[in-house]
Amino acid sequence: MVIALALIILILTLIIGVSVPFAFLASATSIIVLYDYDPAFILPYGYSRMNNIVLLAIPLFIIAGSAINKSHLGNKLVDLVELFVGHIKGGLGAVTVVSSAVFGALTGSASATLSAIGTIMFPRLAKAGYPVGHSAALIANASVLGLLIPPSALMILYAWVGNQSVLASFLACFIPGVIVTILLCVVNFFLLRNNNELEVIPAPKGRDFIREFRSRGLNAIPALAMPLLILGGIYGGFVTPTEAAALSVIYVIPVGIFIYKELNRKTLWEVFLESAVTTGVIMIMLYCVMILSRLYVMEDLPGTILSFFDNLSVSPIVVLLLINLVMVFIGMLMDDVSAVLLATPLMLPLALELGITGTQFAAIVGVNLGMGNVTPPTAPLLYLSGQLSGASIKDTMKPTLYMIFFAWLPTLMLVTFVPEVSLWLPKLAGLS
Amino acid sequence: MSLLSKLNRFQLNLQAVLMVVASIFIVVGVSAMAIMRYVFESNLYGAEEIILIGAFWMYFLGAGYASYQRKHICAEVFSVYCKSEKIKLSVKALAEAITLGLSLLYTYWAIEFIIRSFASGGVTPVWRIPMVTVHLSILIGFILMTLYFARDLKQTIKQIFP
Repeated sequence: MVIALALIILILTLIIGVSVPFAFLASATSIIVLYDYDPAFILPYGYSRMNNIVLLAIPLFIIAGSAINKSHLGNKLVDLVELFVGHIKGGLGAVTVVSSAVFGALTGSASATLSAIGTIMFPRLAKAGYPVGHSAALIANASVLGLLIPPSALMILYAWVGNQSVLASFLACFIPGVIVTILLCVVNFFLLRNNNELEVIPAPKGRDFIREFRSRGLNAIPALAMPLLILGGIYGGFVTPTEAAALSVIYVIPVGIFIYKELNRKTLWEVFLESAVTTGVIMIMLYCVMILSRLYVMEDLPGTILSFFDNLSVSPIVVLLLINLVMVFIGMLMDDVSAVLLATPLMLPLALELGITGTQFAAIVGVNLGMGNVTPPTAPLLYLSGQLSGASIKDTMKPTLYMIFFAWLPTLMLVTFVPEVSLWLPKLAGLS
Repeated sequence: MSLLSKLNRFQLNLQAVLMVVASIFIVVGVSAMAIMRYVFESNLYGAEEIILIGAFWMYFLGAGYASYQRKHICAEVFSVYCKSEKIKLSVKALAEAITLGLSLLYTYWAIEFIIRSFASGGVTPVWRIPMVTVHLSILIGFILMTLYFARDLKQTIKQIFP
């Protein structure tokens, strides 16, 4: 009963607009008060869970992502991808999706990806005759891809909260990320197939192509080399994820200063200050969720939910579908970081009971929350995209629903019911 | 500019400097550890515990600064669907009052935590740095958040009763 009340308090405080960490604390406090726990253990417990070098990967990836963002890498990426598919009808849409996937993986932030790629692509898409609602929906959907494509700060959080392997969680999400990327491109081409107003960019041929490729490739390579260095370093066994994150900062700052010439003393100050604030926002949520999940475990909330499903006598497949439904709902209500922090302690024990491995569940969480973030009616990224492009919510709704039904949902079903989609790569790397 | 505003400006500037210094310290520290291990096949003994102290100060000063900038994440489902400005403002005030109340409670518990930390005299294993130096960051973070949550509530109440 008390645990149900704690959950209700969590939901109500979130709905009325209490900030996420304090909604977690409201729920935790209700358990402390009603079960008469000694509050003396909670703050030291949060501290002990966060006092670990592994978690430093989060601020370090945030700093690297911010430095890349300030280096205006988006333009270089778009220019390079455009060279390959810009001449196909609907190709500029595919450029948007692929650029967002790469940029999202580099910065680890959906809203930064949306702002950076959106600012570059909205005018280009409008000039090429793309319907504004389509463009807004496409960029909102694609901006979430960084959540799946490694290195993803979100997966570090998932792994930490759920006691899973960071490297296995990274790899589990890679193939689902690629599948969503491809399906979004396919849906884009499908939706635009009868649009005769679209302009295509003439493709350079022969020597012109080589010259363009050399020039645009040289511009983009220093930045594109970063994920290769990070992932190569981590999976080659040379560095830990935290060290890779630190080295990526050491790599990207000189690139931003000397190659792209966009970073200077002022922008670097902004990079470090904004990153510290973003880190503060995430880490205080993590601190509070550590306290809350400890109390949930002490009161056996996952066990209570499981016995609730047992009493309903429904098949594990239905339970799995219900877990998906709850997570999409959480993703609809909250941003990706808060959602992963809440969904992991609540849902992972259930999934483990059903025989789903923690590595496969990483992919299920990633796809669910990504989809939740662009699912109306509460879809913060869709609204932001509408704001940036000038599209009305009504205009973005139809293409968004197409993307949800034909890109996100099929991927979700795949990762849920075909474990190989998420487990093949981790197994190949000897991690699962 | 009043003395209070000047103090607030000084505190924000100091906070920003400390956050930036802590961020740079973490980047340099972790990179140095990696380079020492893989290039020089040696290790920076005890570096982790100093880096983690910097990290905690970055986390909690960052959380305080985020409160100043109103950057903490809220779901705000109610305000999206509620049409009445008056009801929206009242619910906002309620949410801010709950946040402030909780923040005050956890500040109080953080004070107790610090007192216990002082009394136990715990130190880090390698450099024997008093644990209170890192625990203090949690208290300072909650104090800063409480201050800015109080400011937010005051401003919302002013909007309701101009």
